[in-house]
Amino acid sequence: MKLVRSFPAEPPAGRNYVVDDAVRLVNAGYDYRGLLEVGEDIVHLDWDTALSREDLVAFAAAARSEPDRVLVAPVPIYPDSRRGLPKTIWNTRRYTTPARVAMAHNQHGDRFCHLFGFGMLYLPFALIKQFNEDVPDGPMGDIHFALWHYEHVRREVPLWWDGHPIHLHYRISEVPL
Amino acid sequence: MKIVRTWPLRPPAGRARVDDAIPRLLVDDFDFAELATIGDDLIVLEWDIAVDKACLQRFAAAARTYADRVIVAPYLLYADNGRPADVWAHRYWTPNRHQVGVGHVPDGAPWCNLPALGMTYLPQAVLRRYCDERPGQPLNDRWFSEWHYEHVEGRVPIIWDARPVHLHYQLPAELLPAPLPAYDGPGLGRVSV
Repeated sequence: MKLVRSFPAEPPAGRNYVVDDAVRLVNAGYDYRGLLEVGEDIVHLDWDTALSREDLVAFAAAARSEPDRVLVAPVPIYPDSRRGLPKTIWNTRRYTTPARVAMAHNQHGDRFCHLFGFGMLYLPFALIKQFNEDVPDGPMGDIHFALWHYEHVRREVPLWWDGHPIHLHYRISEVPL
Repeated sequence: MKIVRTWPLRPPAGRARVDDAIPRLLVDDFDFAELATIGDDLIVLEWDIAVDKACLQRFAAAARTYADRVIVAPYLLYADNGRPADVWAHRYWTPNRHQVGVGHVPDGAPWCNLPALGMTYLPQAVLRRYCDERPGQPLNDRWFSEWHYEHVEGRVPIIWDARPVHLHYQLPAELLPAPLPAYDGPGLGRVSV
């Protein structure tokens, strides 16, 4: 199992992010196919997710307990980072109708999600490889992978709430003090 | 109240940090005395402290409540930086200070005697008084906290519902992959160091 932090080839101006010595996956257009090159199970952090050492170790241990399953640590998405968002939401969702015409963001403490972002998650290498074989063309965005995973691998993806990843994508200098 | 991030004039190589939009105060040799020239009450974050929005909002609310008192948020000093175990950064005088010295506060301690300055609320009046009473002395964790203990307030509240992350740790070696081929243009993601 290896840690990889993805990083945009052209970082948007004015964004907050972490600089550390984690190996970077530089991606363009949110295409994560480069994860295949790591050749191992992956703990993935986006460029703007900060994590304590204890949470990293605990998350890796949780992932090792079920190494064949995706494990997702929800991270918050703030209204000041997404136009029209009325309140803070988690970056994971569940279908709310059998026909899958509607979905809702997970609530804190939910055990499972159906769809997930890549802010912080564990990805078994076998699934990365399988996705690349099943979907050889186009980008491997988080939504592409999550939809494929829901259809072809497993519908219920466990959520990990025992830690506290910090999503830095908010207007930190504009927080009312 | 303003927020400022202290940033070393000569950042040590290989250290994790946060790049963000908070105004930076460049400091030399951990001397934060320039903070007193900003002329406002301050929430101060060090360069390697990450904080989420809700945490920052809770800490700011606590600062407004305490108003004229220094308060701190708890964060860890990690064992992989030469200590035998992870410890909370803030310290307290053990009961007989002259015999026993200082210890790091336990989990949930409501206060400390000697605050570290990783995430701190510093009222302008306290900053100015320190600089007036200790002209020429560096304003750093050690000098400021000892002066504060002796002359301002023995106990500094620790705000436990504001939990920042201290990025000053070494990533577990077993999780670090070997460097991979460098990024070679748009399209597929590639890995680089």
